[in-house]
Amino acid sequence: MAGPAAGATMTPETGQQRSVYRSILIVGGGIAGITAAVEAAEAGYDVVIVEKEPYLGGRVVQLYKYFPKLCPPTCGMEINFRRIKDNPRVRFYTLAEVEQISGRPGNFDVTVRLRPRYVNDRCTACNACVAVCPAERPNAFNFGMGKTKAIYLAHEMAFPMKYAIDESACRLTECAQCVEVCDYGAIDLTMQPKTMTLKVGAVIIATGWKPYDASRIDNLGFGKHPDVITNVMMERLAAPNGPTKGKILRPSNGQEVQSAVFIQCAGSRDLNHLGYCSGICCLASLKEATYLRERNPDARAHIFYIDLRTPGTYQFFSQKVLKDDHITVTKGKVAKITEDPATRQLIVEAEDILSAEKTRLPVDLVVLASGMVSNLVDGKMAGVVAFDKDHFVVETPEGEGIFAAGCAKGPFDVATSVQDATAAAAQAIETIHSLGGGVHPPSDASPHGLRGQSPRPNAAE
Amino acid sequence: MATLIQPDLEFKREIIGLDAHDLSVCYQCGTCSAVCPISTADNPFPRKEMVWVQWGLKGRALGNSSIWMCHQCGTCNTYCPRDAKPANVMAALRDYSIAHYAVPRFMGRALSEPRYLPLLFAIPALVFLAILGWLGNLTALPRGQIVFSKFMPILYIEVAFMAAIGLSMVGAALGGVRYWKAMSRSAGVSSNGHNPRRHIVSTLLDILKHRKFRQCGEEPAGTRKTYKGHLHKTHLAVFWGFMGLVVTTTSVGIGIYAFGYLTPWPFWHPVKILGNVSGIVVIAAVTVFLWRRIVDQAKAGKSTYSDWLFLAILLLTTLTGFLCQWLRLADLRALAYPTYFVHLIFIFFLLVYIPYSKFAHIVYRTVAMLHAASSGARP
Repeated sequence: MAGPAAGATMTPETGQQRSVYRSILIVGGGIAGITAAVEAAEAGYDVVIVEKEPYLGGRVVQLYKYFPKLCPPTCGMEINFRRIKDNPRVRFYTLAEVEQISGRPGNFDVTVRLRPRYVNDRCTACNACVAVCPAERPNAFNFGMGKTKAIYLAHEMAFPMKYAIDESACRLTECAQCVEVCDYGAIDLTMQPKTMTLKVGAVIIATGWKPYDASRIDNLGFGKHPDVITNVMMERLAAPNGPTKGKILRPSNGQEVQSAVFIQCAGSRDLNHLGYCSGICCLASLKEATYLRERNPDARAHIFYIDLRTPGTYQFFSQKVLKDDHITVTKGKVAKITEDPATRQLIVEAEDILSAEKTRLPVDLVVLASGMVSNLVDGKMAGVVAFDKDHFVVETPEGEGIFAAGCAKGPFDVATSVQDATAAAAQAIETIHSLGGGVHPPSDASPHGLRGQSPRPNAAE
Repeated sequence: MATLIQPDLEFKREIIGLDAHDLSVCYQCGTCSAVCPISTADNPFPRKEMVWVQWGLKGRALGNSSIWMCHQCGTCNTYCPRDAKPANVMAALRDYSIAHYAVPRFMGRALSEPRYLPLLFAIPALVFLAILGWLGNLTALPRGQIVFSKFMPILYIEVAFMAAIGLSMVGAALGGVRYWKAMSRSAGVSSNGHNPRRHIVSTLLDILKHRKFRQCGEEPAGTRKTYKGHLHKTHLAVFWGFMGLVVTTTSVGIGIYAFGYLTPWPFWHPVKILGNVSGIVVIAAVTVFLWRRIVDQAKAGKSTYSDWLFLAILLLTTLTGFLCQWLRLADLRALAYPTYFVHLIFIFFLLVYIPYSKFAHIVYRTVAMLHAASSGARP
């Protein structure tokens, strides 16, 4: 096989060997990050997941059911967590954020900041600490619906199954009641933030998305009327581990919802908010309409849309849902929401475009199909990767060795994110491999995977 | 019933040219109709007007009361997710429809194209020059204390104006009837604006009270400010200022003919005070309108020729009126009489061309409100 011997390249300046690391950094431990991690690890590469939350699983674990098979997140996620646990090549850090990435393909220096969890690996999730904790915080996992104690388990299937302390709500050593009741010595209130450095050969940015701040849509009443919620909140309401244990109740008075309106494009396809179509919201609303119908056979769901976008074979799902005569649709965007002072119901106003008449519909609950925003919207990773105007990652030649996966690149559904993450893992492997850091056949090179052998071992076979 | 759609793309191009450049990006979500504070359940606007113009459906776009029911609060522009500026399209349709329904048609064109401007000034100028020539006042200005009726006797002015305004009122009536018929045609026979007489008084009261303008600012859909928030107050000021001037002029006429109370009247006279105050109010309101048209250009777009023309004529009519008064008091004969001549030309332009300039909104908006009220399309 002709070609330059590139197992260890020579830098022209020094003539020294340049190391090629065969480990991969994965920024973000959601469905895309986890997928990329297990795919690369199972192909023989060391991976490090850096996740800012105290648990892995990202947005998917917040859903009640997810596409394409409408399973609960426990379904797919347990398999993934098992693959992580069983594979020594996967390391992960929670409450961790990447601060800096420098270097070149094959050889990146990464600085990671680790926030203190205040709970160590001895935690058995016995819940004794929660019973005595006097402080509360809004339940972030449930999008602010309900509260947890300052020491908490993010959710029932959290992985790792370890409690964490929210330091913004906790007085730490000034209180320390939890320390006294913990029989395992699992709580350490003196933990300090740490910084660590990693050497990796490639990077996958899988930072994902967050829901658009619906309170910025000033005419749709989110934050003003408690019964106006977002689609992600609806997932939590329907989820058995959610704030209402799966009952779909009106936030204002706790009564069962008899009628709900779903407002599509709440923030998406709107130059005042997000210029793009978030892609998933039409299906999400159709799916959430079925949640309501499952719980309450008398309930009615009504979807206001501009275009009901259910691409590909998702069309069949849409057709199936719309066969239910309690789920109806109107072409027209709701642009005004008021409250009926007598009945306390919400009145949504839209023009029914097919009949050219204005409708005013009184309902119990309004669900805003709020769109997806890149988690990098505040400029994180600037200088590391290139962005489009909406802060989704655009892969460019300058970003060689650094790839993006899933919703860091755009508003994707789970299936697309998973495919994209697999592709990103392959790209990362290819980068390392082409620089001589491949793992097939196994090498006896340095501990961090440096190879000094043939650059294309497979081709030589 | 099958309908043959005949798109008139030239119409669409002309509307776009009237500062409605963004109408093609409209994707028909209806946000505009839903946030509109005054569009009604059975006749929401301006979403349907957007698609009618996009498709070149001239008859439907022009034969609808909506274009004049809209009072241009700008809420639709503020909330439009595509920045298609529906309010600009409604303004353009109104602009276009004035020329479209004009009788005679040429006058509609004359008021919407700048090249006819010299002609429009030449008509009153020639009429008044002829009168002055007949009286022999072209070669020598009247001597002694300045009295404008020595220069141009009231009777001559009355005759000239009555004749011209009479003709223009016929034009206005014919234009209004054409618009009424077009609305009835598109609404169908069943809702053919029956029994409009029953609604005349309530419609006029709505106009006097500016009920629609007030509604524009009530029950907003959200918290965003529109650039037209000032409209209710400013229009109320210019409307009542103008009414004050109409009352002043009428009172002066009655004073002269019924009581022989010749002009100029003293400053302390209530009618004189009313005239001066009204004039100041009109100038102030028109100044606000002009100022906002300049500073709001980024959000509201550039205004059209007919917008500027109407405001300019109204302002210049009032300003030259004040100028005549000051020059008379300053006893500057050589300036006072020619300024009075110019003032008369502006008055002629303002009043005689009513059915064809932007001032025609007093005709068409009234007709539209009456039609909407009598066909049940009323809140």
